[in-house]
Amino acid sequence: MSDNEQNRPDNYYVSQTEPAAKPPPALETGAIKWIYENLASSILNVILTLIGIAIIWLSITGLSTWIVRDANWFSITANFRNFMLGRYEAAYEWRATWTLFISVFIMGAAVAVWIKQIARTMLISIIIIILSLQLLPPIINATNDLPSWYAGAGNVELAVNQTTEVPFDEIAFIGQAEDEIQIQFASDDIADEEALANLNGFVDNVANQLRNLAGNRLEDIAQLEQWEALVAEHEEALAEGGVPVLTEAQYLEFTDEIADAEIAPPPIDFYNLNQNPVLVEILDAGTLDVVASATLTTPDDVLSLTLPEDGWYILRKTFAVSDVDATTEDETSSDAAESEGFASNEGIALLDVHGIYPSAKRESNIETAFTRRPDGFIIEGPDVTEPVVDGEALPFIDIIRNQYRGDKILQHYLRMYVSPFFTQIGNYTTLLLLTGIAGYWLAELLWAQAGKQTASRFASYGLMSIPVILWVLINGMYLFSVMMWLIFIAMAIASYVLYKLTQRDGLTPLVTIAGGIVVLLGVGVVVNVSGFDLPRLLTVLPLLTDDAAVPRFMIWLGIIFVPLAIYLGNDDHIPGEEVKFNLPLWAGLSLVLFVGAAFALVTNQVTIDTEWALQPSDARDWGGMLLTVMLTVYGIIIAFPLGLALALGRRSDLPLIKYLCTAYIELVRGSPFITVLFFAQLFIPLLSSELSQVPNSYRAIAAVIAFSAAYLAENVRGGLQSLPPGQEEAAKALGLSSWQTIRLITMPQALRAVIPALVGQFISLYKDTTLVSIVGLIDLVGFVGAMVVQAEFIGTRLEGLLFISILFFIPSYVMSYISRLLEASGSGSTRRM
Amino acid sequence: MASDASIKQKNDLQRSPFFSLYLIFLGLSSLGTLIGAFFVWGVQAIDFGQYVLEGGNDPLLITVDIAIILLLIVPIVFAFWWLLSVIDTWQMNVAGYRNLLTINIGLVLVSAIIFENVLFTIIALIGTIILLALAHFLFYPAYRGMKIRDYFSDLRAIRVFWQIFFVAIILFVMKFLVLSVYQSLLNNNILPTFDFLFRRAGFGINQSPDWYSADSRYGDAFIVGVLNTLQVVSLGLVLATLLGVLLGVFLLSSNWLIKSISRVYVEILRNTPLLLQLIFWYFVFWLSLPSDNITLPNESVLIVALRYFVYLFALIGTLIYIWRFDAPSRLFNGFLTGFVIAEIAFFFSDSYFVIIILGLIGIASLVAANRGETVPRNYRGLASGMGAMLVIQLIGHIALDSLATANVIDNARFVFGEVMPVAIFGPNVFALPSIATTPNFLMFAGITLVGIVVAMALYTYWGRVIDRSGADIPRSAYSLGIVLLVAVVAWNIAARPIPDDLQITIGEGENTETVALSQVREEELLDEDELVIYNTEQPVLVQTPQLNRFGSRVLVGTSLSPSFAALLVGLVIYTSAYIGEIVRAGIQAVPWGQVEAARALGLSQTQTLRMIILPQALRVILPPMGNQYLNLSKNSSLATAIAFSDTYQIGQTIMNQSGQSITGFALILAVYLIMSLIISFVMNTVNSRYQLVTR
Repeated sequence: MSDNEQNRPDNYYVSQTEPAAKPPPALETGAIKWIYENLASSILNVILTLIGIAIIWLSITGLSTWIVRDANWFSITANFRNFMLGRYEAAYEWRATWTLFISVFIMGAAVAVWIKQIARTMLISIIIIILSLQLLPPIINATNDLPSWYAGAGNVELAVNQTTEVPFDEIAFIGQAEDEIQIQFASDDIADEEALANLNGFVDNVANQLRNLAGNRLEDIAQLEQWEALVAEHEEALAEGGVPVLTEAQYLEFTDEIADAEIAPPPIDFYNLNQNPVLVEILDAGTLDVVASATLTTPDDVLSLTLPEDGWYILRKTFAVSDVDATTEDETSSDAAESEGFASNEGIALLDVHGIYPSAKRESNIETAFTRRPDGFIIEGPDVTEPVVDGEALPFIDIIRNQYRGDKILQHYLRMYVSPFFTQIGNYTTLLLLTGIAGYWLAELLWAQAGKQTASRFASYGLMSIPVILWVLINGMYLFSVMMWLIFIAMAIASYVLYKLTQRDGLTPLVTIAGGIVVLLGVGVVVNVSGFDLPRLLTVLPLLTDDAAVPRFMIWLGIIFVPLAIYLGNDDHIPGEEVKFNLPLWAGLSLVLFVGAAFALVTNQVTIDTEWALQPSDARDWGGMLLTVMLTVYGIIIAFPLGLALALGRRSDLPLIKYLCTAYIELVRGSPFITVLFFAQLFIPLLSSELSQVPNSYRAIAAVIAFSAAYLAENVRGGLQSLPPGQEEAAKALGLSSWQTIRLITMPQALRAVIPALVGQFISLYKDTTLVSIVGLIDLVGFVGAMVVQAEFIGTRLEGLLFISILFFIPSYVMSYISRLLEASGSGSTRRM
Repeated sequence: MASDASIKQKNDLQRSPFFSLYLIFLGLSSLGTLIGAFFVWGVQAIDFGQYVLEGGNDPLLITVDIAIILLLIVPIVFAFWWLLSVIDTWQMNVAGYRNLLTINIGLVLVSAIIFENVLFTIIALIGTIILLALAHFLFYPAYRGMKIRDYFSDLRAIRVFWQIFFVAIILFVMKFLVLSVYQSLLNNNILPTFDFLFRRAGFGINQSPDWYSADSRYGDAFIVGVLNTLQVVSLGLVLATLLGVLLGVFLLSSNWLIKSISRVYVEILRNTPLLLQLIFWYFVFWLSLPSDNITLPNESVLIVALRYFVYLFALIGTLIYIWRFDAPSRLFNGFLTGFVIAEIAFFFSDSYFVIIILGLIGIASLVAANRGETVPRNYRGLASGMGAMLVIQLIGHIALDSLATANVIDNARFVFGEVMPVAIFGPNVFALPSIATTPNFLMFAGITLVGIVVAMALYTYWGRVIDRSGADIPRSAYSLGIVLLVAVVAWNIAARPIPDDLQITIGEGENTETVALSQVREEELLDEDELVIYNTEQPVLVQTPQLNRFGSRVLVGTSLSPSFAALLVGLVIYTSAYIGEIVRAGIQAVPWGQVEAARALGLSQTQTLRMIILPQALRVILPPMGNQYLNLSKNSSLATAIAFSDTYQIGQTIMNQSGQSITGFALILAVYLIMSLIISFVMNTVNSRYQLVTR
């Protein structure tokens, strides 16, 4: 030890304290590291990042500018109902509402049972949505004003190109009680030509012409300046022997253009804008009494008034100095006006009007409605018309001739579109989302109180019942169908009672025969239910007459399928296990009943109207989102058993069955969906005179079923092929019948394996339903096409497309997201589906 | 024991006094059923045939023919089966007896279902019941313990029974469908034939080749539609693949921003309907273009700096260098950096001073990169790349300037020229350059073909050399070089003035005549546009598009309709989203260990990509890619929504005009099916080359 001390060098130093930990290098931590690694790890990456930023910037600014400034969202807010329900009867709207609420309730429960991991995110989004729906409209309304309406008054014609506009002296408008109206000269807006060209707000034709005049003039001047600059630069370059700027042809063209250029006179001076006093009066349209009047001379003069009651009013605006000579002089002066403008007592005045807004007129067989566009105030009734003075309908401020012109500012966008839209859907959506939360909460409660199995059974039976509820509520239900369902339920009870009495597996042949007879009788009865006519009943049963081909077909189905189902059902029982649910029996019965009901409904063989049956809606009126949902849901639901059958058929070892199934699948998959749709539209009416009455939408559903069955079959076949053959062999070794093997061993595993593919199929079908618009159905895309030909909404195709693309995007994205979640979690929950 | 028992059973049977009686009865009854069935069928078939013959004049009722053939097949199958069963029964085989029963019941069902013949059904039903009862009554000892169900449990019988049952149902449905449709068509007096294809079409098609006019036949119109579809599909497949692969690479990019943008792009495109997108591209995008046509590049004087050619050569050189040799990492990035620096510098000034400064910087970084530890190891490639790029800039500029001083080229840094537009598009037009072959083309093509043959032969030869000696010969590059060289030489040989005595065929159809070129020129038999190909020396003439004065019609160039463009853009962009995802998934499916192993073996980045990742990724990519190709080909039928005359749309027009819905429909279906078949055949062939070969 001492040795060591002696050998110690002189400069020996021991630090008594731990050195302070140095911060990690700046490039290796936090945001900088992230940016370095993800955005700037190499030169190429930096360039890509810059390009990416440019893309994002361009698209976001472009899109938001268009959304706020250029788009006319009245096309969406005014047509919202059409987008959702099409022409579905207003009297039945409550059914759609109920369907939606029940579905959302069940979906809430489903979320609680199967995909709890997204519950938190969903809850937060729901809260945000509800808050914004409820809070934004009042805030926006309090802080922003609606845009002005600019109207021209005057005694001269306004000529641009071939069209001339004369200001209306009297024009009608609808007003709501307590509306405050302010009319004054538009002073700031005509301060100079640029201000006039950028006039934004609702404008009548005269004001619009003025805008255009100013705008065109400014454009012409700018164009001329550009040409002159180019030509000058070119000449300079030529003189210096440098690089020429223009080709020879361009040079000649531009010099010609400069020589020919004509710049119109400035409109503000030319039309003596706001130089003459204007007498403004507001009249009650019924009595023609003047409610308020004022003479505007200076920009500070204001006519303000609070409307006493709802109804029609007339705005009268004339020049205060109304000399008789002006009219006679008009023709002579117009030539003179070409060059130096109008006389001092002639001209145009531009009024800035607050509180009066354009409205749209809708006429139907029943009633006429006038809707004020920015706030949706409506006057409707069977006898409502625009005011009639001296036997002539007065022009009113309609939205077609008084569109919003100019670039919208953000305030106008919020006040005109966002706030009314949120108000329109606010309460409904809030209630809907709360229903979803209630469903979630109920399922949670069930889980806590009665266990997971009960909760998941609740959710899965609920989900399964959605299509039924959808059909019953949306389509309506005949007493006939009600009877069918009653028979069905009675049979189920009878089979259960018999089972309890005999304590035998499944059903005895006795019950089989009894069931068959009951079904036959039931079908026969309901087919002839109008009067329970015994002879007719008898004619149906022995298949002797030709006037009931469809019911006969049904009965054949019944004869074949019901005993078959029951026969197979006898087999389908594992000894020692309690019989719970005789699936084949139920499936067979419901198939017969469903097919029967559908045929009888479709062919109108039964028309019964009682108080307690739901009136059937006309399927021709389905449209918009409703039609899309009906097509998708029934396209999948009804196609599913068909798809299973086709998949099994294609894997069958019986060659005929196999090749027929394969042929069908490949034929459908090899042809475009549109041809299948067209096929259905074209050929179903050819089949029989009864079927030619079938509405378009049913034919489309038939096509969707035929189409998606083939694709579903391929998906299911993929799942079946993915199973190791040992599964089937083991089932055989255990002595299960082939039906039992399919039902208990292969199908559950195969279906679980193809859940993502099935969801993908559902999504693509959801998108593909848009094709029905090509065969003439008014679905979402079809409605956009129909909307843009209305005079009011010309040129709003992009708005419509954007809106419906959101309607397609959100459900598709959410579904694929959930499917990814299910796939990734691989939880046992999917087992129960 | 068991055999004893069965022998005893047989003996019992044969000893039974009623046996021969029963056998006769059984055979007769089932024969009777069969004959009855034949009779009913025969009557039906004859009725059917008469029905058909009465209906139309020379009808091509394929469906009906098939139905009749099927109707004949079913009884033949039954008869054959019956014969077998009788033999079985004669030999005391229990199965035979059961089969006879099954046949009877099958016949009953089939006849009942297909023909709804009540009398026959009832007789056959009663016969069957009697048979069953007799069997039980007479042969009780032999069949003791058998339940009704057991009669149906012979597997052979069940198999055939189910198939026949199935076919019978299908036939019933088919018969119902065919007859109803046939009856409706008969009522409307439009029986399906193919005659209409030779009748005058009477409608014009926007997107049609020259030979089609409203006077052409329906068949011609349909062919135009098929051609249009093929055009869109073939172009779409290529473009969608290119864009999709690019997108797939972007989806895997290490750059977070690009990755996210690509992800959003893919999600938006995949989750909105194609129809909506097509409508957007056509109505919102294309038809809303400014009415002044847009030309690309803009129709004005365009200045192409010669340095871009320098860049081009430098880039090709770099890529070859990186590909062929073990290039330092980041060399390519260095080149890009050099490019950016030079461009920024030239943006502000292109004086010689700047070029020399840049060159000096380049030399300095080249020197620094190659001198020991001056530059950190990681950045050597970067520095040398940048240096090389800048030095190439300097050398290129000096060389070009000397050429300019020697008056070989006009100007050192720039070339001038009026650039004709390559593409013009507006709401009414979409024009691309046209490519025409001149009479010199034949010679050019011939020589080039010889070059190609030689190159292919050499390629094979080098392949053998490589196999034998292991020499590293870049045979693909050499062969390609030979082909290019021969093509260039061939171009120069073939480019010569076209002789005046060339004989040209003029006119269309029957009014053709052959005239010498000089005569054509003198008498102006062809107009200027048609003469263009005789006025040039080039073997192939590319003409940039030109519009007429009003910008509404294409005078020169390939004219495509806006709806074609919208359809193509829509299809390509929509499909590219799916292909991008497929490519991403395919590349991600390659286990990371493969890449690590490749690196451990010392393979370079490109070698890893080319030899390890791509072959394995392709194995995963190809099958779903084939599906997407099929989807694209089928989705092209949405053209009808944006007024593009494809197979479906023209087919529908023909159907509406001629009323021939059945045959028209069959034609449309046939086209799409054949297209699908061809695509899946090609994809399967390609796919089988890449799949893992296992034992």
